[in-house]
Amino acid sequence: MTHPLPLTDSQHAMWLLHTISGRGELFNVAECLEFKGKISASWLQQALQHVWQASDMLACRFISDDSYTPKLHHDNTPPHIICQDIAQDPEDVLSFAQQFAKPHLAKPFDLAKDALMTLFLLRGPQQDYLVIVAHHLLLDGYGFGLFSQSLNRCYNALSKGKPLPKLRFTEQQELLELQQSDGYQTQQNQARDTLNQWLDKIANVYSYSTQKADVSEPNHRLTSTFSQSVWHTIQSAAQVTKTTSSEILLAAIAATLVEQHQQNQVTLGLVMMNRQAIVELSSPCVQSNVLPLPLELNEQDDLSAVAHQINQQIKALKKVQSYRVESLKRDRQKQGKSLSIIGPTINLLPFASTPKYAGVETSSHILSAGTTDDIMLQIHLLGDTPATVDFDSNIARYDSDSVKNIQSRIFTAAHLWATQPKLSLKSLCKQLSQGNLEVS
Amino acid sequence: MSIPKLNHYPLPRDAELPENRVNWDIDPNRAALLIHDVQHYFVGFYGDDNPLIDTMIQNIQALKAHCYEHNIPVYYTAQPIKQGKHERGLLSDMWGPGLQDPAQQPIVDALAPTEKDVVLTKWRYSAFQKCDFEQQLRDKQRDQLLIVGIYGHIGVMTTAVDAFMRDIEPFLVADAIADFTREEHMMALNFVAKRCGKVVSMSEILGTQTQDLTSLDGLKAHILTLIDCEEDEFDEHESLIDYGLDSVQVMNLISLWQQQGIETNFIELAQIPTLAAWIELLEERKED
Repeated sequence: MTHPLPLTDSQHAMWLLHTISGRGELFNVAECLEFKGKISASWLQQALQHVWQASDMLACRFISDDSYTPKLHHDNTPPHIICQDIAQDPEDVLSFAQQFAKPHLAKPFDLAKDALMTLFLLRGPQQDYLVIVAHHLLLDGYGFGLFSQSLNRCYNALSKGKPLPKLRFTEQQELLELQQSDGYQTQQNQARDTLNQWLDKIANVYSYSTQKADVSEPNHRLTSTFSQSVWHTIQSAAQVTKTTSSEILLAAIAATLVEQHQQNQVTLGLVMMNRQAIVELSSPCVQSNVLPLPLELNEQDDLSAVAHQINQQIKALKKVQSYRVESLKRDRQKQGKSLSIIGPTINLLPFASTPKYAGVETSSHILSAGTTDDIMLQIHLLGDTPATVDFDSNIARYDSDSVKNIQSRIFTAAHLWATQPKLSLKSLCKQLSQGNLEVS
Repeated sequence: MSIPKLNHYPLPRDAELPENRVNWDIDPNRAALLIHDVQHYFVGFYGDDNPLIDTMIQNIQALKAHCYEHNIPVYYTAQPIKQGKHERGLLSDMWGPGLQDPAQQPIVDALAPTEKDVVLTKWRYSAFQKCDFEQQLRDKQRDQLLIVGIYGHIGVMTTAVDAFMRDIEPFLVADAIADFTREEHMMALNFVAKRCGKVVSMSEILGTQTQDLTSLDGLKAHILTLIDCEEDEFDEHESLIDYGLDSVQVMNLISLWQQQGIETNFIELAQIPTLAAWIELLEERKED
C-alpha cells in the first residue's frame, strides 16, 4: 500500500477540530484496564507491537502540507508501555485511574509527530492496571473495543506459546475506497437532505442549560448506577412494551426535557457507531458521529408510545448516520440557520467485555470519552447488570448541584415510568414537577 | 410495618434457574398443586395492571388446566380476615394486623377456585401449620407438591421447607411465583434447589419447548422478532447489521448466551455479523 494516504471524512473532521481549536487535548480519550492479578509486561509490549503494526490506521502520523491538507503517513514504531510501580492497590480504581490520567489527558498530542496513544502499566502489589490515553482520531468507543480485543488475543497467544494471530484490520485504502464509492456518496447526499429536512421542522433545540459558555476546564463527571430492583423493573417494562431498556432510558431523558421546557418537541444528540459494512466494522479509527434524534411527543403518549417512537427514529437515524455532524452544521450555517442542532448528547455503550489475560480476569473503566461543551450522558449497558450513567458536563454551564438534579430527575422518570408504563407523558411530567424526586 | 408497595420485574428464564441437587420427576399420580395466597389483599400490593402479576396469573391458569387434565388435585391457601392477636401470633410484630377488609380476602377472580378445588385456611408462613393439609395429601396418596403463588421468599419457600421435612417432595415453579423483588425471588429458588426441593419451570412441566438461542432455528426465530424482515426473505449469510439489528439488541443476546455459560462480546460478533457465522462461533465456544 502506498502511503501517504488521504484521510476519511471522519478523520479529517477530527483533525480539523484538533487543529483549528488550538485545544487538541479536548479530543483525548482514556480507558483503564484493571487486571485482577499480575500480568507480564513483556508479553503486553509484544502484543501491543503486533496489534499496532497490523493496522496502518494505528501505526501512522497525520502530517499536513502547507495547504493544511493532512495525510496519513505510515510509521511502524509502536508506543512503548511505560511501567510504574505503585505502593498499594487502590480501593477505588476508577477514581485512582482518573486522577492518574488527568495530567496526560490535559496534554495534547502532536498529530504530526506522536504515536497517538500513550500507555502506562501501573504495577501494584496484587494487581496491575493499564491506563491508555489516546487521541479520538485514532480510536473511538468501538475502535477501543477492537484494539483491546486484539491486544487480548495476542497476549493470550504469547502466554500459551502459540504464534501471534493474524489480525484482520481494515487498511486505510480499503476504507477510503468504500467511502469514495458512488453508492456511498449517493447515500451521503440522501442523508444530507433528510437530516436538513428534519432540522427544518424543529423550532427550538433545548438542553438542560441555556448557557452557551465554551469549555474552559476538563469536564466534570457524576457517575450513578441504577439499583438492582429498579433495573429489574426497567427490564420488565421493556418486555411489556416490547422495547429495550435503553429506549426506556432515552424516553425518561426526553420526559425530563419536556417537563423542564414545557415543549413536546425534543431533540437529543445520539452518538452513532457509524459502521455498517464489514470494512468499517474492522476499522479502529474514529468513525462515530453525533446526530440529532428529533422526537415529536404527545402529552397523552405512554411509555410504550414514546419508546416506540424512539425506536423508529433511531432506525431512521441509522440510515443517515454517515453524514458528518460537522458537515450538517456547515449546511445550517450556509443557510443562515441555527447551529444549535442537538440537545443533551447520549452515548449508549454496549461494548463492555471482560476478557481474561492468561487466566487473569479484567474489568475496564472508561476514564474519558472526549470533552463536551454541554452535557453528555454515557450509558453503560451491561445486559442484566444495572446500567451505569456517567454525566459528563461543561462546568462553565453546569454546577455540580444542577447535574445532581438532572441525574435525579432522569432516574426518577425512568423508575416512575417503568413502574407504571401506562402513565401518560403529561402525568409523568406533573409528578416530576411536583418534586417527586429520589436519588437512586 | 405493612407489606411495601411492590414493583414488577422479569421472571427468571429457564437458563437462569439454579441447578437442582435432586432428580425427582413429577408423577401425576403422586402430585398436588398448591396455589399460595393469591388473594386480592396480597396481590393488591403490586398495583393495577402489574405485568409480573399478569404473567404469574396466566401461568398459574395454564398450570391449573394441566393439573385438571392429569387429575392432579388443586389446593389453595387463603388467610382469614381480622385475626386476633393470639391467632396471628408473631406475624403481627413482623407485618402488622394484616388482612382486615372482607372484600380483600377472596382469591383473585382470574384464579377463583372451583368446586373441585380445596381452599385451606392459612395461619402462618407455612401452609402446613395449624392445618390438616399434610393429612389431606396423605389421604389422597400425594407426596409431591407443586407450589405457585406469592410471596416467593416467604410463604412459598417456607411451605416448601415444611413439605420437605414431612417427606413430601416440593417443586417450586419458578415462573409461576411472584416476590417482593427479583433478588428475593432468586434467593428463594436457590435455597429450595440447594436445600429442600426442586425448582422447575412452566415449560418443563407442560413439556413445551423453549427457544434454544444457540441453535440456528432458535436464534433465527428470535432475531426475526427484532428486525423488520419476513422469514422467507431472511438470508443467514447476510449482515444482521444491514437487517437493522442494533448494538443494544446484540448486547441482550450476549447476556442470554452468558446465562448458558457461553462468553462472547459485541466487538467479535460485529466483525462477523451474520447468523451463520454467529452459530459457528457459538458452537466453538460450547466446545471450549
